[in-house]
Amino acid sequence: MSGRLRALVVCAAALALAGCGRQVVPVSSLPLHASTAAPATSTGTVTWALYRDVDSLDPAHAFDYPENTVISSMCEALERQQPDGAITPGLARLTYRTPTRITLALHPGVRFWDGRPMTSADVVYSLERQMNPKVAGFYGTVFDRVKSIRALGRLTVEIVLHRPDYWLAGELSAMPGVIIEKRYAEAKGQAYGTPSGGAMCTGPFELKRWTPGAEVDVVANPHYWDRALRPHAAEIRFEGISDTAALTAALRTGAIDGTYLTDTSNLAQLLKLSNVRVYAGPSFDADYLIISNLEGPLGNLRVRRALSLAFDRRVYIDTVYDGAAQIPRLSANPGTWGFARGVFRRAWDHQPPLTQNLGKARRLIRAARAEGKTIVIATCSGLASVATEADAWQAAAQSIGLRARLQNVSPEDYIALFTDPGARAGIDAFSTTTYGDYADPAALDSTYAMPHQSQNFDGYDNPRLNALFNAARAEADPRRRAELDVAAERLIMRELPWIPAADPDTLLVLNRRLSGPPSSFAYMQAPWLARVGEAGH
Amino acid sequence: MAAFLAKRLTMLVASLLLASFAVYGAVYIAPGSPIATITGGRALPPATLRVLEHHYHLDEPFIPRYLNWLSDALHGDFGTSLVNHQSVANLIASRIGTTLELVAYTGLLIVVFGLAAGIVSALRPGLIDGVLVTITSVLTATPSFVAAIVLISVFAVRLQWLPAIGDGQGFGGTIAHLTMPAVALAASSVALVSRVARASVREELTREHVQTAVSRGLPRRVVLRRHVLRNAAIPITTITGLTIASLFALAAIVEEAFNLNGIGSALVNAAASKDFPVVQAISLVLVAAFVITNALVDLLYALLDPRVELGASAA
Repeated sequence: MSGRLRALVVCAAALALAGCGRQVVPVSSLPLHASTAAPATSTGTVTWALYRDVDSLDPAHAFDYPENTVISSMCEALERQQPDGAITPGLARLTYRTPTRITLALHPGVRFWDGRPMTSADVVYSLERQMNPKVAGFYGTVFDRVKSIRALGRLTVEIVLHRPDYWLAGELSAMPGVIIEKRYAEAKGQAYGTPSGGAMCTGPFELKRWTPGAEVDVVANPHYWDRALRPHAAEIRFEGISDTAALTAALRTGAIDGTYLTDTSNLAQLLKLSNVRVYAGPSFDADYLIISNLEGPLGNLRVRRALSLAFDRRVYIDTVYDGAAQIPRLSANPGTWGFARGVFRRAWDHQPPLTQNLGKARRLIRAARAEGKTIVIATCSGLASVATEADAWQAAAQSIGLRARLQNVSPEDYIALFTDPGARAGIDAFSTTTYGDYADPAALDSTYAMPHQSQNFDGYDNPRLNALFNAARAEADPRRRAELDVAAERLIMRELPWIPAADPDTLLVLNRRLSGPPSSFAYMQAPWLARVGEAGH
Repeated sequence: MAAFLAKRLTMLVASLLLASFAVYGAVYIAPGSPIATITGGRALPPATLRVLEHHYHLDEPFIPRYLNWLSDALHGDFGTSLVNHQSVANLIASRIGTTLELVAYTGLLIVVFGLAAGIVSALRPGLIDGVLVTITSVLTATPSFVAAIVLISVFAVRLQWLPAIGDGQGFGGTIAHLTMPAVALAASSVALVSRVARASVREELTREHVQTAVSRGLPRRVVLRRHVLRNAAIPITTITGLTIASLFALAAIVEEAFNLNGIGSALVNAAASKDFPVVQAISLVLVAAFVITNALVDLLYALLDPRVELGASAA
């Protein structure tokens, strides 16, 4: 589950207030634009809204929109995610000398905010810290093929792998690859990334003040190493605003200059405001119906296919996203095509969108002899979009002769479905919005479609799929890796370990006086807020 | 007086102890886990989850955990937030000012406008009373979150007179930022207090001794002050005191709506993420505020009516 769901937990109370007037914008079509126009001049203070207050500035403990947004403005990974998802050198140039031997050539002249130079010791420390079970970081498993990490020189680091792993390069462009200062982090110990311990990084903005529960204040780093990303804003103040009505008013009055929207319930109102613009761009996000029990009726592939065919995605996208999403054709959002795009694009064009086909769905149910069988779908009346989606899945199931029972749980219990097997007992399916760490469909698909992975809740195990993912992970050539990804995506669309529901856009809301930041998911992992500045007129 | 204070102090301690156990128990029994918040819902391997649970002492049974918390609290250590690792004492210290300012401002509005409307209503039957009763009827039925939306859309968005969100700096800034929240929070309470004041004053006006005083030709001003308002003051004080005491808890709603960093909004967020130490400490602050406000109301009774003894229950 991603923070979009958590955003909804926090905003649940506000939904009733935000009004239901809905302005239908057309269902998204490609291409979406990843960037806004470059800013003309520098600007002073920019206020940026997050859907809630920041809890941590530790990259090992960051997995949600607020933490990622703030950490990415200050801290940098070894590689950099471009607005279009491509991965380019960041703090280091990464080379696979052999399939199991990676060399990191660190960019010379990079300094932390305190003026100390970044060296291989900081890199080794940061990566080993992510792997350290005692730190209990969220990204330990992405290093599971790493055998050793060592410094070869002052600006060279070598990573040795047990087995070839070309996914690691992608992870090192995200939170797992963020470099923090060793000396500082060791001195702070467990307090690193907390309000008392602060942070020490290399990025375009440096931490000025963190007032927990109020704001995180960052100021331009005058000695930033990368000329291309010199910050245009003197200061950015990040504020958590969980109430969508308050956010709308704050954007309207200019108290807030911009935000990446996670709760789309106020999108229609935002589109009507004259002083802000809403930009839609590519995203890694995708909505799914999670299958959590293969022992029940959904263990039968024909029933899963029938349920997918019965679901009206166009109505769902209009209702929940005001149209700012695409109807899925493959398992991942097109925003995740970070390399060999032609391969993904051709596969997408050849795949029909998942449109409703009740006749075919009913035939499948009859063939499976599943008429009258009952499935239990978890829902949460406190989370408007979850409830809407659960209702839609229930309607889809009933329209083809299945019985569907909704089990209503509290918002907190709904989150527990993702972390606690006990909470999932007796539940056949529930919906989610989630994303991978970098632009590769496999970054997310492998977490639910491979056995023993973090989001595989029902023990789904498909040897053909496993073979495709393992081959992709060990494939050096991006084009061939994309072909393996596409083969896996097509197989997922046939086998439906999870059922795709929608591919939402990234939504950037920005005051018209400003321009510059990308309208794509890259803001989650790289310092693109350095681009925000005064718009030229 | 000393006996009264001792009695109230014992009551305060007993309430706090009872409340701390009840709140701890409620948070413990409620579904969900702070781990879900701490991990942002990211599915993690069981080994990592166990390390996190151990780190936050979530793997210990209820009673030892509670006693642990209690002994720390008695030593003045309210722990650190599980979610953002800030010390709870700092968290409350940095936020309680906003809530106190909001409650004081709201209390002032309730007393001034509630009493004025109620007394004028009682003394001026007819058109003025009719208008005031209509207004208070609408206000009574207006929850603070609805009032918040209306105020924001009119005064912040359309007229742009007042800021929509935030706390503000300095006296002027604070007043500007807290005016709409205080009005939103006060609206239904003003109506309630004015209704009670109107009824009490009306009732006193029909009393025999008041009629007698009037028939004996005492000046109306004197009759009102000595015989009507003084006697009507006790029920009015009761309702005003209760209303103001409850503001500490109700403030959470407008704090959320106006993005104020008070303890109410902190409590809502902490409760949603099962952040035990924060929920505990803020609940206790709220309980203490309630008990203390009530004690102050009892003191007021004694001042208003010499027949009321401190510690005895008022009429």
